[in-house]
Amino acid sequence: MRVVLLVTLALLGLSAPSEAGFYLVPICTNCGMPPGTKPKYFADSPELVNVSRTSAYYDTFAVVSADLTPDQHNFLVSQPDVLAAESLDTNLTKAQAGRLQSYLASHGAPSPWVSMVDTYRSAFRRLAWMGQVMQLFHYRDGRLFSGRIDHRTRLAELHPDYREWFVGSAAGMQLTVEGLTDDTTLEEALKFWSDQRSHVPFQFSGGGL
Amino acid sequence: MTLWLRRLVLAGALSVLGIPPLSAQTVFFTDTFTDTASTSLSSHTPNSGGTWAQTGGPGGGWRITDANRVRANDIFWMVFSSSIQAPSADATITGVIRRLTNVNWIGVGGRGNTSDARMYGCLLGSNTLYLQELDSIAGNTELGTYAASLANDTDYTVTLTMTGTTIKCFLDGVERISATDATLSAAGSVTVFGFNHGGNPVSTNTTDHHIDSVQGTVTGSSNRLSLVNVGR
Repeated sequence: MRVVLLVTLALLGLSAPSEAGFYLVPICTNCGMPPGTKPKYFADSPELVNVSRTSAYYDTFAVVSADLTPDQHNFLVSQPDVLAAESLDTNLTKAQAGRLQSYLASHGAPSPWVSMVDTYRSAFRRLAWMGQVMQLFHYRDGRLFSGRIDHRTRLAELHPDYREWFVGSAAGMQLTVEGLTDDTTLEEALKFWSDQRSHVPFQFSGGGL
Repeated sequence: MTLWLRRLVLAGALSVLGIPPLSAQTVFFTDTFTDTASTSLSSHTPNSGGTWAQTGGPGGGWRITDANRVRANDIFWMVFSSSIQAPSADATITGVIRRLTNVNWIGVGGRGNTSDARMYGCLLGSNTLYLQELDSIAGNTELGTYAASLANDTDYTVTLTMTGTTIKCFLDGVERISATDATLSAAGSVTVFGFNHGGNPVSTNTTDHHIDSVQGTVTGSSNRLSLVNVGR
């Protein structure tokens, strides 16, 4: 159907409707004006000034939707800390899953979430939704993963206030929290919740994941 | 058939057909910033009553202009929250922003907290529309931007809609930014806010972005509302 649309538009001398691309981009805190957490490069690179974008944040990086020109896309993906989604709805190849796992591992996110049964859409959607849990936690008490707390930390090892806020953040998003135990790691908890949202679209400008 | 009975029959027919009733907007807050020039915003009374209180940023205040708009009056960021709370978290905040010149950033927000500067806001400046989750404690988060081509001496209508976790900004009635955010879920107040870069000049009555009016609405059912005033 899209091919028919493209041919029709070409015959009419019109350009095709653009489709936003999705990228994983490190965050930049308080760079540029107005102040706030933003995706790196979009906030401070002349190549990407005034580019429309939408972002969802997962701790140290963001899932970014942006409609880029080929030059802008090439600039962004040439950065060593940026990963672009290729075809959104086909299963990841072994190489793509490997690249995505490496990206997540190097940015403090649980890499076992991703496998070849995932698509870029399902993997990015999980990250976007789980970022919401951490945004809620962040709203109450700063970053979750800092100091001695990482994805392997068990719920029992969290300070009682942290545990209450972490689990409460998920409950606040109407995620099921029953079944979690003292031995559940933060990675397992986030995976448990991301499974509950893996089929729920996540809204971005011009469409969603 | 009386008017109210016809409406009732129509509502029933729509319900049978699976068509939702027409929705109507209920205004819970309005301010056209009509007041004596130079009145501070904190001393100004909105059209719908209540007060404005500064909930974020250092001192300096905002001022009513000689054209019945409101503008920043210092080089710092500032947030003002209205004392009237939205009756629902799902609300629409609409501001008319006059761009006299392009200097600083100004916007309107919702789900505002009356004790600190936490809210969602649509912000205009630098030829860009911004959607932000503002938080003076944890830090602001940019949810989205839209590159716009803006002209001086022009009014722009900026609209923030908040429906559950779907937060949107419209510019002149056209949806430009749509994002998902679960951080702020409770109903709150209407806000006005702005950022003034330290290196930029302070706004005057003839420069920068000013807010001409702001309105807060929530959606109600017109069928239910239409029966209120029929006076049987």
